[in-house]
Amino acid sequence: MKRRDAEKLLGGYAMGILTETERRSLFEAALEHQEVFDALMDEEALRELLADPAARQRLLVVLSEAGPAAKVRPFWRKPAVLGLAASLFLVVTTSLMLRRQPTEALHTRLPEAAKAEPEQAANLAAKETSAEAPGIAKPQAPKTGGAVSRTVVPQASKQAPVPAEGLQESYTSTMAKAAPPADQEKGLQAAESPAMAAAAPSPVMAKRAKAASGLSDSSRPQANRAETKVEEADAMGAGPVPTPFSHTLQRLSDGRYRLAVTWEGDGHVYLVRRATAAASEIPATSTKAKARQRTAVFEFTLEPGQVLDLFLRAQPEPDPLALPPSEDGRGRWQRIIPGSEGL
Amino acid sequence: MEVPSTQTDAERILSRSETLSRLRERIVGFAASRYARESAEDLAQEVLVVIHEKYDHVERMEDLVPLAFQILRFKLFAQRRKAVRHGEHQQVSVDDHPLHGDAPDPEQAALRREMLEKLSKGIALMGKRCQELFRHKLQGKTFPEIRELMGVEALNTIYTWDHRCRKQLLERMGGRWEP
Repeated sequence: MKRRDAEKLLGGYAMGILTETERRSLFEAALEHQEVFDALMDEEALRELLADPAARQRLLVVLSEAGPAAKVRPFWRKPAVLGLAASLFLVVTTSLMLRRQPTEALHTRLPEAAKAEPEQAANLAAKETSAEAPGIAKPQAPKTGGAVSRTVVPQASKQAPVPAEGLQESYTSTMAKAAPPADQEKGLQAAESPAMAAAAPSPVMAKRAKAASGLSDSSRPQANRAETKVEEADAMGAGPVPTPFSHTLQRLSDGRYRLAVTWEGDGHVYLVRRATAAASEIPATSTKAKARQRTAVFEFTLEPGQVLDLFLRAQPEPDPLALPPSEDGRGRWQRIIPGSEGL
Repeated sequence: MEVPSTQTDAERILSRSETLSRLRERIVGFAASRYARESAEDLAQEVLVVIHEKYDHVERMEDLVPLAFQILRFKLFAQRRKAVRHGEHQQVSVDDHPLHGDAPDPEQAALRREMLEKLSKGIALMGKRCQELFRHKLQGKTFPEIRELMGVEALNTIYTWDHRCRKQLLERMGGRWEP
């Protein structure tokens, strides 16, 4: 037997498991080759140890306890390393997901908001009185950057002087004029804030809200809601909402006031004078109709602190005093506060 | 005078003589590589004397060789002890008080405990295949039986695996079984 082949039997020699043939071959090789003899001599120590049954049993116990775990595995296959890698993966993935969600939500909202803005602006512009067609208001592009609303605060006169009847001053307010100066806006905002804070379905209210807030973004939702309510009222069969109206308030020489209201199409005008705890209806002095344009004139006195609520309703109202000082989708409403401009 | 009656007897005697002759060579060679050559010749002679005087009935080569291993190991161990306890006047001749079988003395018992501990640690670090192979060998299974158990076709494969596993284990134990 070759020396290399004999050396392969060394492991069996110490264990005492060699067959008769294997032993003969190994010993013959040991007698023939010094290296094999020397190796067998070295195995003698192990053979003596394993000749003890207790030692064999001890080693068998070690083998049963070691099992596969004794095998040297790459570090990346160790349970601790795998667990740490899995934990890191989870943390990173969760962080990325959480970070993306607000961003995604924001990106989702931004396109929606971007869409809503032109729509809102279009809705607001559609309710301008100056260029609107009769009937239900149609959406139009805003004429300016948004300053289309008009207030009811009397401002410095921008028209020609009043004819000679002793009118001291006159002022006109229309729905299509630019927003009043800032202080007027503030006064208006203070006076009309309760009304504006309420749900204002009419485009008149929407424009007023825009003017009062200086065309801030916060007014747009209110205006939008107003437009929505108007449309909803129409959809609910409350009748067509009268077209926006214009009015002119004049101070007479005898201290009384004259209010001329002009509108187109059908409708019923009511003027209510309100004090802190009282309200009274002011009947129209005269009513004129020319083609589709109609004009109602009111003459009355006003005490300091009193305000006027002007209503234009599609249907006749049995109790004008019960009309809410706001847009309810079944008519127009405007509050007039004379005296702020020295009238 | 009895002449060997059969060729078998002659062959048996020759083979015993030849075996012992070769054993002497190997013992001298082994002892000379590990110890001084002068002692190697004496050591070989002592082993053969013991075999001749105590184990004259052992004739087969398969029995003489492992017997020579045991006697040689014992002689070497005794020689180490003598070297440590030199000058002691009450030395006991190992020839007069031979150790029977593998009964260990306290020193040998301590050495075996240490060896077993090292072996246990080395086995625990073995690979799965080596551990399985070692387990089968501890259970007394022969190499052909192990081949069947492990589902290997060639017996030489088992030899090769065992040789490699033994080599790895020996390296983990510092290159020798004894501490």
